Amino acid sequence: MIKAVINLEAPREHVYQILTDYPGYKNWLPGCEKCTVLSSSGNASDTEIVVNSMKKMTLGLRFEGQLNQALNFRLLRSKDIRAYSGSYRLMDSADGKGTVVVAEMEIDAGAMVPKFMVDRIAKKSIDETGASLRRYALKAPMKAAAPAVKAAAPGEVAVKARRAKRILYVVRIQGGYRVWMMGESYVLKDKAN
Amino acid sequence: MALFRFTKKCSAALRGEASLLYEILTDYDSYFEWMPLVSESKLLAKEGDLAIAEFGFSNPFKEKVAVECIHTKNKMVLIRPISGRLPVTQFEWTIEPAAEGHASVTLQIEGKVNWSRFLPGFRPILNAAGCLKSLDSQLAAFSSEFVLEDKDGQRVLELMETEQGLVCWFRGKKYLMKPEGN
Repeated sequence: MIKAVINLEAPREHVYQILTDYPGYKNWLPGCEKCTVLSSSGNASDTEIVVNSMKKMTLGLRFEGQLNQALNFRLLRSKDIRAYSGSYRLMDSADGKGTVVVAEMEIDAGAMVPKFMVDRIAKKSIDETGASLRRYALKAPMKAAAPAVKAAAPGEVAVKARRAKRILYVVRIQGGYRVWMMGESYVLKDKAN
Repeated sequence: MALFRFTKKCSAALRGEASLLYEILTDYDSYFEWMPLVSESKLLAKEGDLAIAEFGFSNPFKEKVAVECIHTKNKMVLIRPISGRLPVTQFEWTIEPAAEGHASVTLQIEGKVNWSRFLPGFRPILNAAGCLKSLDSQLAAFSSEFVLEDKDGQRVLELMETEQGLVCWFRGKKYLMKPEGN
C-alpha cells in the first residue's frame, strides 16, 4: 500500500467536490485523457477512465464516496492491470487553513512486473496527483453546496490548553547546587569543594 | 519476510499518571522538544483516534516525514511514517497504570533492515531505551511532584512556562514574567 499526505489550501467541501467530479478529472489528474460516468447510484459511481502515462490504458473504476469525508475506488475491469484500489480520506487541517488528504493506493500489475517497480511508479503517481490536486484546488471555482461537515474557518481553531511546563529547577544542596534544566541535570559545586 | 525486519523493545516504570503520558505522546506539536533526532514537529490534522503529523529530522537525513498516528486514550499511541526514508515502520507506545502515580511504558520500534539503519546518526531514533529516557525527561517538566535526587535540598529557583507567562519562584516568592510589550 502506497500512502501520501496532501496539504491543500482549500475547504474540505471544495476538495470533495473536485474528487467526485469524475468528468473533471481530465482537468487535473496527471495523464487522464477522459473520464466518463457510466452509471451512478447513491454515493457510488461506475466510470470508465482513459489514462495515458507510460502506456495508454482504459480502466473501469467504481468510486464510492462518503460526503466530505472520504472517497474509495476500486478496479472493475482492465486489460492491463490485475487490481487497483485506493482511497482519499479528508480531514480539516489543524491550523484551520485547509484540508489534509491522506491518499492510499494499491496496484497489482500482474506477475510480469515486479512489485518494487510497481510501488515506485505508484509512489511517483500519487505524489504527482497530490501536487496537481493542490494546484487545481486553488484555481477551480467552488460550486455552491450544503456542507455536511463544517470546516474550521481560518482563525477559528480551538486554542489548546497547555499544562504548565517546568523549564528550570535549582536546589541548594550540601556543597553546591543541583540544577535541572529542560530535562538535563547538572551539579554545580562550590569553589571550595 | 521477518528476515528483513527488526524489532526493538524496552519498558520502564515512569513517575507520572497514564493520562499525562498520553497527553505528552499525543502532543505532536511538541515532539521536537524531546524525541531524539526530531528537530521540528507539527500536527497537520486530527480526527477522533487518528492524527496526521509532520516531523522534521536533523542529521543524518535532513527531511520531513509525514506520519499517521493512531491512539487509544491513556493506553496506546502508534506512529507510522507515511513518507520519507526513515528506517522505521512504526513506533508503538503502550501505557499501563502501575503503582500510584506511576505508569509502565513500553516502546516497541519496528523497521526494515536497510543500509541506512547502520548509520551511526540513526542510532538515537532506533534506541528504544533512549527514547524512553527522553520521554521521562519531558514528563519531569510537567510533573507537579518534581524532586531532584537530593530530597533534602532546598528549592532556590524554579521557572515554569504557563499560559499566563513565565512563573518564577525565587527564594520562596512567586513572580510572574510577561513578554516585553504586553
